[in-house]
Amino acid sequence: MKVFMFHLMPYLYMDLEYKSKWRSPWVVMPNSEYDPVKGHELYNRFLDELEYAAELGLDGVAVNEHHQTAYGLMPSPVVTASALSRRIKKARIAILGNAFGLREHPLTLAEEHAMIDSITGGRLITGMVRGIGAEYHSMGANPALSHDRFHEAHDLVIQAWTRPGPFSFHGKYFNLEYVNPWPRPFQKPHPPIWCPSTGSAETIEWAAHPDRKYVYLQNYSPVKSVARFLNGYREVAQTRYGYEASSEQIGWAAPVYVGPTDEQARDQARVHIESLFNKFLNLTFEMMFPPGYLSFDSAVRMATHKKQIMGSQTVESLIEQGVIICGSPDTVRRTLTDAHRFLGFQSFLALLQFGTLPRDLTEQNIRLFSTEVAPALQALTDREYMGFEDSMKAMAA
Amino acid sequence: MPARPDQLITVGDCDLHVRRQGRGKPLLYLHGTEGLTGIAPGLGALARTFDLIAPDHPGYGLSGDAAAVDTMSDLAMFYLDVLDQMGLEQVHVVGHSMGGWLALEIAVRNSHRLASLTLVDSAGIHVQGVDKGDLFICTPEEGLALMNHDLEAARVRHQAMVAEADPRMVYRNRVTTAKLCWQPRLFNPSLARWLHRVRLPTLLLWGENDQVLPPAYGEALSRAIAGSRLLTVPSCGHMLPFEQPDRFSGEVTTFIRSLAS
Repeated sequence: MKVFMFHLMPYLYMDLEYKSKWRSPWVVMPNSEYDPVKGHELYNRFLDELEYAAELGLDGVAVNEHHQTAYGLMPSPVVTASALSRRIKKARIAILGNAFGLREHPLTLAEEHAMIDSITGGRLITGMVRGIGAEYHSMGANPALSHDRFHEAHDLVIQAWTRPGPFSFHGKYFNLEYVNPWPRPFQKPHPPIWCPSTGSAETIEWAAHPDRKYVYLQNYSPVKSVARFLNGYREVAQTRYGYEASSEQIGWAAPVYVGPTDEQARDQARVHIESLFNKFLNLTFEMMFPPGYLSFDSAVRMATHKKQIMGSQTVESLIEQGVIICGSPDTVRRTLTDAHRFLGFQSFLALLQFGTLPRDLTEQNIRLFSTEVAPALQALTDREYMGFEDSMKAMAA
Repeated sequence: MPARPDQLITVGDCDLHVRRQGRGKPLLYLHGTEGLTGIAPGLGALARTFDLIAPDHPGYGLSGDAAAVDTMSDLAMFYLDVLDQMGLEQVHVVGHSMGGWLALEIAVRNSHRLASLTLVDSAGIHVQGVDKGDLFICTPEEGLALMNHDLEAARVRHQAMVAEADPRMVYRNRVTTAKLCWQPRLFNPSLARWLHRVRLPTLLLWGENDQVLPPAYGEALSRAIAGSRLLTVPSCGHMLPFEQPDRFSGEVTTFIRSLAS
């Protein structure tokens, strides 16, 4: 298994009592709440944390994109990945993801990813996402066109990376007379593409398609949902597309906190993980699901899913549901090894800084996870996986 | 009275649902962002004087989709086809909110079949320095407060609508509204450059307390459309045809009758 550290880079000085003033840290919280001096400190601290994880032997680090929110300070993950690309010498750098369809001109992202891939000698992983609903408010992109536009942006980028240029591209949203990017990506045919999601059926079907076989990454979900969606990917591959999905095609991302003992881990993580789920992740239905972002049926389903993970969570309820993994090195190692035995995912992303988690605890978490947990996970292969049929049987039971 | 209340007419690839009611001069009512649900009182009054033609736009209500319609400009071309196909002449067009924007897009393209415009709390242009209300980010309850002056009355209307409407239809209406109006929000940047082409008698009806498109939008349109008249209705928000149905039908009727003399 490949093990990554994922970072959201939250503005952790956010006033946690914002609810009396603003409905959400997304879209509407005024940016006068952001202090550039503290921002300077945070960016450098967070970059240090990712570099530390890479030094301690993780396979990669991962960053992502969100706009106009205290939840995460990475409107351009290209900038974050670039800042890491010369400091991290061996580990992979994953942009999970970039919202290609949100851009007026996705070719610029194709060029930027090709640059990072070239600088790192082929260590970039490209995540392709539509962006969450709130992004459509913040960026003035039309949610009713988001699927279409995302798919066309994807096609443009893949062609730009693989077809000899110059060629012209004519779609519904993007029209270019010359597609001929310099540089081309270092990796052939292009950087691996991952699709992070909270479990949309449309994304799973699209990612699993035999023309793509992109890595599907499940995030922020109770472990039961993780099982349903990861096995769902394997099932779609098998029954709809007639091929056996490789375990390399699926991954899981979850907040992880490792402390000296189970009890200490819970106590140390408590207020910080609760701030992530109860404060930073607080979006209204209208922000999350602007009209047309999801089909009617998916919107109804996702509203239920979000209610499960957002709102009044405690560290105990999050552990109980398996939304987070928290405990001593033994507990965390056992939990993840058991999950791998059941689901066989070959990528795991640990969110090792979350909410207000301060520097010292984050460093302890990175150290314990990277040295006490990750090596055991990195040794896991398909030999330790029970296999798809047994997994489906176990899930049914 | 309703001899032929509901019609389904095929225009291009779209089955367009049209409520047609009453006798008299043809009056085309172009609905706003919410669709036609709940509009009955004000329209019923108009049907006593006019041949009322009230379609669900493609993507709304009981109408099908139109593959060619992605933008308000497309929708205007679509309605020019509708007017041709129905063979309507001397049509009085009444548009509310997004429907007012649509009426303007039709009129700047071709107004040969049109007799007058009534634009009610109309979208279509942007006025620098005057923010519009955001229909999309608010919760349903906040939306009612944003759109209506009398919140209690709006709640009652809303509850009746919710009890009656199919949630799938309400969602589809909202998706189509997003497709047409999300970006740029409720306007077409090039429309204002062509408003001198509107040479029809035009009445602008505006809710004095409209927070979605404040009265400054009515004033800007009245300056841009030669000979137009702006009438501001007190104690009324963005939903004038719903909030003041009698005043709405009364002003429309008086305006159109005044043109005949």
